[in-house]
Amino acid sequence: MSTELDRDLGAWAREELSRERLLAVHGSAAAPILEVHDRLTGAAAAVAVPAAQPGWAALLVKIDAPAPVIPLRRPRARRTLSIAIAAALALAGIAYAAASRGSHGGSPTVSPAVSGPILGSPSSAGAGSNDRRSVHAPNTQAGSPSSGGPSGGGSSSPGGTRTTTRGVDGGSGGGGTTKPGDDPHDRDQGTGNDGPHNDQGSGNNGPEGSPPPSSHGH
Amino acid sequence: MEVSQFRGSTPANISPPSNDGKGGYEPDGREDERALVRRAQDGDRDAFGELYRTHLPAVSRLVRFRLGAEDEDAVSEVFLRAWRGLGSYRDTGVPFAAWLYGIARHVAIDSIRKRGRDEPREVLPDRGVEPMTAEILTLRGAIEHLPTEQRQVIELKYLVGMTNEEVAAAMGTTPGAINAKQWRALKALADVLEERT
Repeated sequence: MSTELDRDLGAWAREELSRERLLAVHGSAAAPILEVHDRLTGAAAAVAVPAAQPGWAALLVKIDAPAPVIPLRRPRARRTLSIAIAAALALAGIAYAAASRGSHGGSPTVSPAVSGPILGSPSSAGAGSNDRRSVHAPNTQAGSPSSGGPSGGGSSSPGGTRTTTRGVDGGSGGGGTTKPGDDPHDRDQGTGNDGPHNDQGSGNNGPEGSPPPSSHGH
Repeated sequence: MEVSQFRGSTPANISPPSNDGKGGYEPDGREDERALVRRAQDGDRDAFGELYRTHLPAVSRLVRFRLGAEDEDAVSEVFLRAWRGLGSYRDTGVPFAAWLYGIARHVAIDSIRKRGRDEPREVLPDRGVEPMTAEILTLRGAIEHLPTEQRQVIELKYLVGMTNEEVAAAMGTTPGAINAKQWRALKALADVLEERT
């Protein structure tokens, strides 16, 4: 298309040039453009516009309704891959935990030190693996019900700061936190030191060899 | 140059005043519209109602051409998304109609996808052809063959009813460039139509 045709078409659009004049000057170059223009204009004008009032009323109802919560959609392949990775990670974690426990099964004095980093709270290891809450509640050493039971008090340092009873302390049989009067043969891994028994850190409420509870607080 | 004796066929007449339910974008009301948009952004539903009435014809034409059929649900969806997205709208000099145009395009795409999922393929042509005139179907098919920029110019000019200045603002160019693009787009459209007949 020539610059002149562009210019004259623009002039025609601004009603500064008549259609006849435009066609007379540009002839067949302008004719198909004007024809398409006419067809578009006519078709656009032929589109029926819905009545505004009912449409607005219907729209108001939708506006008043709460916006729908659209779940995040992922492609099936990505979703499957995500699930597989999550499952693999979970299995690996379980296997690692089982292996760790198995390798130290006969040596409960080491177990808290191993479990400490996994729990992400080193200070909790020495306090007994089933009493993580007490790490954040220093005052519970007095034996309050919220301290997780009587065993919680056994591993707390006298100063009331459980953070000093690291896992290594528990692993050494509570050597760092042994109170006067504690049994030197106690192996309760820091959950208390008041009897010659071994409950593997799950409390201190039974005689030597009593089976630990099913949960170790992990 | 002489004044055209054919007002009825000039582009200026494709965008009559907007509040009569027949027209398109009204360039003279830009300031009023900005005020309406600001009020609507503040939660004024009456203001949004005015915007709805103003732009309903243009959105209806867009949806009709894009979907090939009347679809009041799609038209309603455009305005619903506009209402919910008003908070993100920023007046940068681009006409509000251009913003609606972008929403309408997405709604049309979503609607076509949904239709493709929900209905058997052999049903689609019948569903599309029945309510529309052959002329609109023909033009729609030809417009779909245009490059994106030319297609936008055609839609903004003839369906939304914008002026060259407004299209230029929407597309980030000059009115003169839009003028040239419009005629080139029409020439390309004429060529496509010629090939298809």
